[in-house]
Amino acid sequence: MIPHAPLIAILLPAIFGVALYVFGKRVEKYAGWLATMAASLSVLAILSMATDLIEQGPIHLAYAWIRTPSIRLTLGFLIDMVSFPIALIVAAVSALSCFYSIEYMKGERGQAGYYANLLFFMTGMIGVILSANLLQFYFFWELMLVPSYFLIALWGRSKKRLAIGFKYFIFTHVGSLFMLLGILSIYVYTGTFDLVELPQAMAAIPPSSILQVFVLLLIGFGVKMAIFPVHTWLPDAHAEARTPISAMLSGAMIKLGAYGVARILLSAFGQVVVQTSDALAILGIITIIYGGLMALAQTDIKRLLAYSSISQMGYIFFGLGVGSALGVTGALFHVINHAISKSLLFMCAGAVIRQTGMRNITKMGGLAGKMPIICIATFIGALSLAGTPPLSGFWSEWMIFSGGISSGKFLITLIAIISTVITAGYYLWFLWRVFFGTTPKTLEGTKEASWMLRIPIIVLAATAFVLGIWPDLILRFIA
Amino acid sequence: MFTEPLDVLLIFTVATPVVGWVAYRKAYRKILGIYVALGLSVTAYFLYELYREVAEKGVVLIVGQLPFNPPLGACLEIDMLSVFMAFLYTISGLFAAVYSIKYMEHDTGLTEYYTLLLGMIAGMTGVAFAGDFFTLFVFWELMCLTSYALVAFRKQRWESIEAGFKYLIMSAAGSATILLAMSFLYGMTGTVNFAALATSLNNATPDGWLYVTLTLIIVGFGIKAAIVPFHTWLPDAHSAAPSPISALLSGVMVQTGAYALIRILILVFGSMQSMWQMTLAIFAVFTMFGGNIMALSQNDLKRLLAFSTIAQMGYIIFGLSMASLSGLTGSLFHIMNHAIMKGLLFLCAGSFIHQAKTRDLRKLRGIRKTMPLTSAFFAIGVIAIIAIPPLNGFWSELMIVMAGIEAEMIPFSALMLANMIFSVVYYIRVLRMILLEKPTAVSKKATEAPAAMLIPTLILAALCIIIGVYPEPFITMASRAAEALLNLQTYIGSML
Repeated sequence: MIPHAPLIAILLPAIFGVALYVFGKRVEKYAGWLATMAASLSVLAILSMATDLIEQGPIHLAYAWIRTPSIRLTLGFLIDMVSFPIALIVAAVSALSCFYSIEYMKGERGQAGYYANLLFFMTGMIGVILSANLLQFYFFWELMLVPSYFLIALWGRSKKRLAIGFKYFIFTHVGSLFMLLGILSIYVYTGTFDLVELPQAMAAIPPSSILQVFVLLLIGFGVKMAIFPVHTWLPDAHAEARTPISAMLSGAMIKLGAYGVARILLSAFGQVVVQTSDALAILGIITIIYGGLMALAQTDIKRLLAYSSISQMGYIFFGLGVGSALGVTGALFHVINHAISKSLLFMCAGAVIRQTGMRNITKMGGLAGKMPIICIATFIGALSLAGTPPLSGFWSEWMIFSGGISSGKFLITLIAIISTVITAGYYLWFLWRVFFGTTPKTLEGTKEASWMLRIPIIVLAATAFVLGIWPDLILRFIA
Repeated sequence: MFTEPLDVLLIFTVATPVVGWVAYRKAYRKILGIYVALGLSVTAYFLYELYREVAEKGVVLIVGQLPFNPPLGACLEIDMLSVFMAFLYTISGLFAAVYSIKYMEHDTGLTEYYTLLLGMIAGMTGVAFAGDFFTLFVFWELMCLTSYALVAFRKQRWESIEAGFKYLIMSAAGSATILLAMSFLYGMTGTVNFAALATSLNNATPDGWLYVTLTLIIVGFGIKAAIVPFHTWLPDAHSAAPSPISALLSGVMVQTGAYALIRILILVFGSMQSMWQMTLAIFAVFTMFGGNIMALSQNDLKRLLAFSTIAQMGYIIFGLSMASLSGLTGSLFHIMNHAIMKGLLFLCAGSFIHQAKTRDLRKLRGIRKTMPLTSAFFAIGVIAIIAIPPLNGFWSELMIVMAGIEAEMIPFSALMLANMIFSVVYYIRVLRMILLEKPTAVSKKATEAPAAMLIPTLILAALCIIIGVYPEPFITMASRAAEALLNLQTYIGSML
C-alpha cells in the first residue's frame, strides 16, 4: 500500500480540481488530460490497497481533525470488503468518464471548470465510500451535491437544465437532511459516530425509536438510490446531464445510496432490516417493475437508460432488503456490475448520439453495420443487465434471487424473477430498434465513433465480459 | 482608561475629522480609509494583547477609583466572550473599511462616514466590554446613534432617509425599553452592576416585577437582534445602507443584541432559566421561519440578504436558548461564521451594485460572465450559508442542530433543519441567477470589480474555506468564549 493511500485517493482529485479552477484559461487545452491523470492516480492509490486488504484484513486509518469539547471527529478511513470494491469501481468509472470527456466535450465552453467540478464530484464519492464515521460520511455526501449540481445545470444539454438542476439539488438535499437527522439521533443515543463501534453501541437506542431512526436514514439513502416514491429527480437529471456525467451519476453516484444501506443499515440496524424485510423487498419489486415499464415507454435513448437505472436499483434494493447473506453479496456484486454496464451503456449511447446527432430511438435503426464496436459493447452491457449468462449481471441477479428464496420469501422472489422479463424486454427492444432493422436514409453516412470514445467503451465492455466468465475476480473481495 | 483597544478606537474616532481636514483634496481622500484601517489594525493588535491577559487571568477588570468603584461606579469587565466578540467587530470593521476606500470614493462626506464607522465599532466593543448596565447603555447608544446616521448616509435618496428614520424609531423604542428594565432592576436591587445583580437575583423567587423586567429585556435587546416580530426595521435599514455598512450591520451589529441578551439572561435571570429558555426557543423558531419565508420572494439582492440575516439570527438565538456548552459554542461559532459569510455576501453584493448600478436580481442575471471573480466569491458565500460542506457554515449549523437534539429539543432541531431547506431554495435561486442564467443588458455592461474591492472578498471567501476544512482552532475559540459565559463564579467572584 502507498502510505496514506486513502487520503491521496480523496485529496488528489480535489487538489487538481482547485488547480484547474485557479489556472483556468491557461490550462484549458490540457484540462481533460490533467483531470484524467489525477483521476487515474486516485484509482491507482485505491488499487494499491488491495494486497494489504487481502493479507491483513480491513484497513483502518485515522487522522486528527476536530478535537473540541462539543464536537469530536477524526478523519477516518475504513477499507474493507464492502468499501474497497465499490470505491475502486466508482473511481474507475470516474476516471473513464474523465477520459471520455476529452473527446466528447471538446470545444465546449468552460473546460477547466467542467473538469474541476468532475474531480470534486469524484472526491466526494470516494470520500463517502471510504469514510469511517457517520459525520464524515455526511460531509462527503453533501460535498458531491454542489459539483454535480453545476455539472447538470451549467453543462446540461437543453434549456430546461436550470429547472432540472434545481429539482435535483432540492430533492437530494432534502433527502440528505433526513439522513442528517438520523445520524444525529444515532449520535445522541449512542455517543458515537464511528462505524466500527456502531453495531455494539446500537443497544443504547431505545426500541421505540429505533424504527424512526432507521426510516430517517432509509429516506436519505432511498432518495439517492431513486427508490420508487422518491425517484422522480433521476430521469430528468440523468437525461439532462452530458453523457460522461450521466455515466458518473448512473454508474457511480446512485450506488452510494446502496452502499449506505449496506454499510450503515445492514451492519447497525440488522434487526430492523430483518423485521421490515418484506416491506423492503416489496419496495424493491415496485421499483423494478415501475422503472422497467417506464423504460419500455421511452423513446429518448438516455431517458430509457435512466429509467433502467431505477429498475436496476430496485434489484439491488431487493437484494439488500431480503435479509440473507447471499442476497446482500449478490446486491453488492450487482452494484459493481451495474456500475460497469450502465456507464458502458451511457457511453455507447453518447457515441450513438454524437455520430447520428439524434436521441430518438424510433428514428434510428440498422446501426450495427455502421458502428460494429459500439454495437457489440452495447450488447454486452444490455445483456449483462438483462441477466443473460455468461455475463456478469447473470451471476449477481442469480445470487440476489437465491438470497430471496433462501430467506423464505418464495412468493415475493417469484414476482421479482418474473419482472426480469420486463428488463429483458426493454433492452432487447432497445437493441433491436437502434442496431437492427432498416437504416433510415438520414443515417446512411453514419461512421464509427472515434478512438478516444471507443477506448473507455472497450475497457468497460471487456471488464463486464471478463467478470462474467470469472466472477470470482471481484467476488473474493465481497464478503 | 477603557483598556487599550477601546482607547485606541475612541482616540482614532475623535481624531478622524482632523485627518479628514488634512485630506480635504479629492486626491488625498484615500488617506482617510487607510487611516481608519490602520486604527482598526492597531486595535486588533491591542486586542490580541488583551486576549493574552484574559487567557492568563480569566477576567480583566477596569474599575474607577473611590467613590466611583463598583457596584456603584461604572466598570468594564472583560472575559473571553468579550474578547471574542470584540475581535469579530474589529476584524469585520477592518474589512468594511478597506472595502470602503474604493466603494465610497465618489461619495461626499467621507470624514463623517469614517468617523461614524469607527464610532460604531467603538460602541459595539464597549458593549462587549461593559461590566454594568450603565456602561453598557452608554456604549449601546453610541453604537445606535452612529448606525442611524450610517443607514441614512446617502441622504440624497428617499429610501435611505425612510429606512434610517424607521430604524431610529424602532431602535430608540428598544433603548427606552432597556432603560426601563434597567430602572426596575435598580429599584429592586440598588445596583446596576452585572455581578452584583447576579448575586442578589440569582436565588430570588420570581415575582411579577421580575417577569416584567425579563420581558422588557427580551423585547429591548430582541429589537436589535431582529427577533421576529421586532425585526421590521432590519430589511429596510440593511438594504438602504451603503454595502460595507450593510456588511457590518448584518454581520456583527445584530449580534450585539444577541450578546447582550444572553449575557444578561444567564447572569441575572438564572433563577428563571427554564422560562426564558423556552421563550427564546419559540421566538427563535418564529425568527427562522419569518426570515426565510420573506426571503423566498425577494428580487432585491440586499433585501434578500437582510431577510436571510433574520433567519440566521433565528438559528443563533435557538443555540443560545439552550444555555448549554455545546449550544452556546455552536451559536458563538455561528456568530463568527455568519460575520464572515454575510460580510462576504454583502461585500460581493456591493461590488455588483457598484459595477452594475442595480440591486435587482433580475437585472443581475448572468453577471458571472462579466464579473467572474466576484461571482465566484459570492458563490462560496452562498454555499457556506446554506450549510454545504466543506465550508464553514456547515459546521456551526450542524453543531446547533446537534446541541438541540442533545438538549432534548428535537422538534426545534427538526424545525431548524426544515428551515435550512427554505434557505437552500432561495439561495440556489440566487446562485442560479448570478451564475447560470443568460446575461442581461445590464450585466453585460458591468466590468470586474477593482482590486481594492476584490481583495477583502477574496480573504473572506478564503476564510470560509479554511474554517470549513480545518475548523478546530475556531471551534476552540468559540468554545472558550462559551465556557467563560457559563462560568458565573469567576465572573462574579472577580468583581466582588
